[in-house]
Amino acid sequence: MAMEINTEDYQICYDPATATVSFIGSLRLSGPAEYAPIGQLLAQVADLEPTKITLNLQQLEFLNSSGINMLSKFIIEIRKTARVQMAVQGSQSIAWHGKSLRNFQRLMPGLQLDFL
Amino acid sequence: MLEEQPSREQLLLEIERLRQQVEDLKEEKADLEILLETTAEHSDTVETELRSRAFEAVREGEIKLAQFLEAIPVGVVVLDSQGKPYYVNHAGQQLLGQGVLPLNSVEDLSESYQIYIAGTETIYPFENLPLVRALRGENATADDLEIHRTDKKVPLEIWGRPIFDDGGKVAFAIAVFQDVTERKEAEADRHLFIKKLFDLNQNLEKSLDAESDLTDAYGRFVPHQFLNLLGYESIIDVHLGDQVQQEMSVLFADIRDFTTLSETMTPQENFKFINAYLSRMEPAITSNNGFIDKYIGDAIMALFSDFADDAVKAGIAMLNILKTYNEYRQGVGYVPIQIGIGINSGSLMLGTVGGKNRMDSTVISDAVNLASRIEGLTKDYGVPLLISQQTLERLRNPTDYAIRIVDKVQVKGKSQYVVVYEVFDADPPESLSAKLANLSVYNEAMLLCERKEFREAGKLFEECLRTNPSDHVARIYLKRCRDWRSLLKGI
Repeated sequence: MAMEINTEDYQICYDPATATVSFIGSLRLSGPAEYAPIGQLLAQVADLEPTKITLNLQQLEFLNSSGINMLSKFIIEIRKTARVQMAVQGSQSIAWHGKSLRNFQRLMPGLQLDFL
Repeated sequence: MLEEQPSREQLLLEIERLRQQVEDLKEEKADLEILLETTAEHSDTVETELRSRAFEAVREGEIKLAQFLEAIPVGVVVLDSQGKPYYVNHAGQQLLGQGVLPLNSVEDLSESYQIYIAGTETIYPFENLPLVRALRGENATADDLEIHRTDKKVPLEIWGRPIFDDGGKVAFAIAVFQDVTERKEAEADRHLFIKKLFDLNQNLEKSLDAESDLTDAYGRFVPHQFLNLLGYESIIDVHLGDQVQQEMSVLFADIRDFTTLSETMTPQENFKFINAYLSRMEPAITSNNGFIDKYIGDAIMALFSDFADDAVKAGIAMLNILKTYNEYRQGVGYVPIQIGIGINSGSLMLGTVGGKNRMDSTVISDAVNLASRIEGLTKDYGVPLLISQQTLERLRNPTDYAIRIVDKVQVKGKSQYVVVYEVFDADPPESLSAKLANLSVYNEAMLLCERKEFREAGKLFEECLRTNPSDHVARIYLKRCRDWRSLLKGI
């Protein structure tokens, strides 16, 4: 079970203790096909069915359109299970976080959004 | 056949199912709308962010570049492809005296910025400006330009370079230029310096030539060889009281009856004669490794280091030259002259004597006095060349020469006798062969004389004279023998 993806541009890892998936670096993969591995990691986390999944995006400097698309779809999936709660952590100092992450609450009204 | 009619419950279930489907689809549609909006908004946000970052970076880059250009201590000018001034850095403005000027065309560049050909009042032709040549795609340099400012003229060196775009066309021309006043001044200084050095060198050469001439001139008055013997290179180094002792041969030569001869001539004729004679005799000495120590009127005193042979050969040479000279004299109606030469060898002391203000060289030795005496004897015996026993002993090979004994002299203050010999190599051929033929008879006669057997001696001398009537020595001895016989008889 791959709970970690490490590349030069970005690192993604899952911490079971806190059920937190952390995203670090810049994500600018071109298209759903390239985001598939990350999508799979997220799906695996969802399968574990923790009470609450936290997405830690505090150190995610950059995310392209395909990326936000993928994350958005993930959130919809979690909403559909209706068994897992969702929390997203953003950064006050990264410009696009404020605007773009709020849309996640539109997709899943109960989603907990914090800017740290 | 009966058509199966769906039951009411089935229909209701179907309706319910379809209603649920509609709900689901509505939800999905809502989700998709949100997704679309989210993605679009995110894209916009990110694009704005990136754009402003790009601008920021470009601006920073431009600022840095401008800083660099401004900091460069040489002038930088950039023209666009149309030749319009695009940028002039701070240093450039300082040098040009002004910044970017609105120009109508490239042709006005020289005029507008007051660029002239260095050292003239001619405007620099614009097509030769490195900047203009750069516009044509050339790398160019020039260092013959001057900017005429109101207060001064500034010499410049300019480099021009084109900047090409991707298509290979000239996009910009950049010129870098600097004030080369200092360098030009340094060059001028250098030229001046080189000229000074050259002049100095010329003067030095002249001085050296003069010194060389002077040294040569000195040498004619004080022979180099004399100085060398004293251990000096230059006459300047010589001190009063310097001396050296050396084994040498000394030659004295004198003209017979010169006083009588000179009385027949005017002082000018005397002078001319002496110089004619001495200048003929000098080579005989110098070509035999000797040097003339002094002239005393018509007399010559010459010195020879080491080899007695040199002195004897010199004496013989002098006599041969005399023969030719006498033929010439008789040819022009002058009386022929006779000379006498005396040679002795021994230890001589050479040195400087005199006072601080007037020094002269001198040779002091008994040997010198003896040589002089021997020279005097030439007159008595009527032979031109006499040498001492010491000289004979120092000859490498006495048999090379025609030599016979002539006399014995007592040296003043000493009890010893010195034997004196005649060297007759220069005799006229008949005399030479006659003397040689008589040599054994002559020698025996001299021996008998020694033993005081005057009668027998006399007979042998008579025999010599029969075959050689001109043998003066034999004649003198014959008379002596007769005189001594009569003297003895008288007792």
